[in-house]
Amino acid sequence: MRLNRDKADEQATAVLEIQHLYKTYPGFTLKDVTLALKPGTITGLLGRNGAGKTTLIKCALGLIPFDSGSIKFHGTELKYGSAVWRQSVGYVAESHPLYDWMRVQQFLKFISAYYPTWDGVYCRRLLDRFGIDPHKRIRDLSHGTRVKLALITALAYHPTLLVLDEPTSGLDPVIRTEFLEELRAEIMSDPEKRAVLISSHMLEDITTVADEVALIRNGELVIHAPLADVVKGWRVVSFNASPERDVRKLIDRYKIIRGRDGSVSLLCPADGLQSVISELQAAGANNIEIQNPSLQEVFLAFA
Amino acid sequence: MLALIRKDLREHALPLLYYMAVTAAFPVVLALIDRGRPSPALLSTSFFMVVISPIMITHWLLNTEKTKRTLFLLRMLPMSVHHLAGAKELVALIMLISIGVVSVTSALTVLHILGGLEANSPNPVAVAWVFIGVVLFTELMLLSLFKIRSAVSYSSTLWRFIASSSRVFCSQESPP
Repeated sequence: MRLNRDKADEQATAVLEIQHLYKTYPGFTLKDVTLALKPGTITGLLGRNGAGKTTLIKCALGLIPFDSGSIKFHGTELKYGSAVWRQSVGYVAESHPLYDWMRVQQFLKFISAYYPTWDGVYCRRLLDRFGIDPHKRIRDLSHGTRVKLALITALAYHPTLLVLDEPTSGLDPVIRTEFLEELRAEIMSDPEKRAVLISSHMLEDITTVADEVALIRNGELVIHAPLADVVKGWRVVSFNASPERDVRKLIDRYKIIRGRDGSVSLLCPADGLQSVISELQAAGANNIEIQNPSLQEVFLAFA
Repeated sequence: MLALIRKDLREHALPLLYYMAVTAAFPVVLALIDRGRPSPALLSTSFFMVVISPIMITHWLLNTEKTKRTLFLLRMLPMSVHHLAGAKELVALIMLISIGVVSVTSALTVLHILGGLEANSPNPVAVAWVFIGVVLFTELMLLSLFKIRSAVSYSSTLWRFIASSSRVFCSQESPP
């Protein structure tokens, strides 16, 4: 099932607009992905390993060619191979590639040469805020500090599109929380122009920072909606049924959430709740309880 | 592009110096082997090294970026793949010319110390410029023939080139 925002509203002022994107690899196809990132929004990109998140990001950033579809940046269609538009794009890759032999200041100077809008004052402020010594060699930085440096590198030229691919991967919970708070503060300091896309497995991170959620499954975009709507639009119906075969038809029709104790819950649309309850009761289920789902339950059901 | 060239020259300064030192010492070794007489072996081997060097150097530069995963960082910069590849080729050329200058200077110095050239020997300066010209031509050919993408690999080309060059140079006869 798919929750989609109103397309006219999506596409009116999108920073990045992906339409009917197809990309095929042997054994995998990114199919008909349509996604628009509006300024001032943080979109969480969710999906299992191999679902197509990184492929989608690489196609969107022009790093790999796609088979069909279109990608527009501030309304201008992009062709594979063009690179100048990336002066307004900040990207933090999962691997956080940096030149270990360089000092922090040296590395930032190297990167700044490619961005006319590089803001040295803002960069120094971020270095102070994140507590990074500019004279230190990058190889001497901790993993968390490297991630922060990668973020500074992506923010210092005020990009209108910020893409973060698993930015908190490998960070301990304390550093992760700190990183997300700082990320959110920096993003919100200029909310009107910037769109952010965060790809992550950490659902708590997405819940903390994202306004919207896009879920990819087997190369298809199955959900793209405001975070609140994703959760609001569904209900978890827990019940006892013996034998389970009596409710098999219901189980087959709706998304299943299995509890640790082997119990079964259904994830069903909120507007179809009454009909589900009636069917459960008719099938002999009892102790029926209704709850709002967590993002994790929706993710597990759809991913 | 200039920032990338500067970065590469700084990053690979030490290996370049080592390579230049080896290149400078190479004619000395060959001169000792040939007992003071300049021979086609000296010129052929130097030619071989100088022509192969740009391919090897560019391959090595890109491979280093791939190994350290910084090639992805470079690909994300607002710079086309052709500019990226062109910058690497320019770095290779700069390194090569530096190595070539050292090589030629060293060879001429060795020849001078050993008492000059035989009457019928070719003009070493002219030979040196021919070498450099051939190298530049090879580079231009590579740049125009190959479209370089992020997963650049010169390997198969390199080994084919080495194999064919080896066949050519090994078939040269020594002077009477």
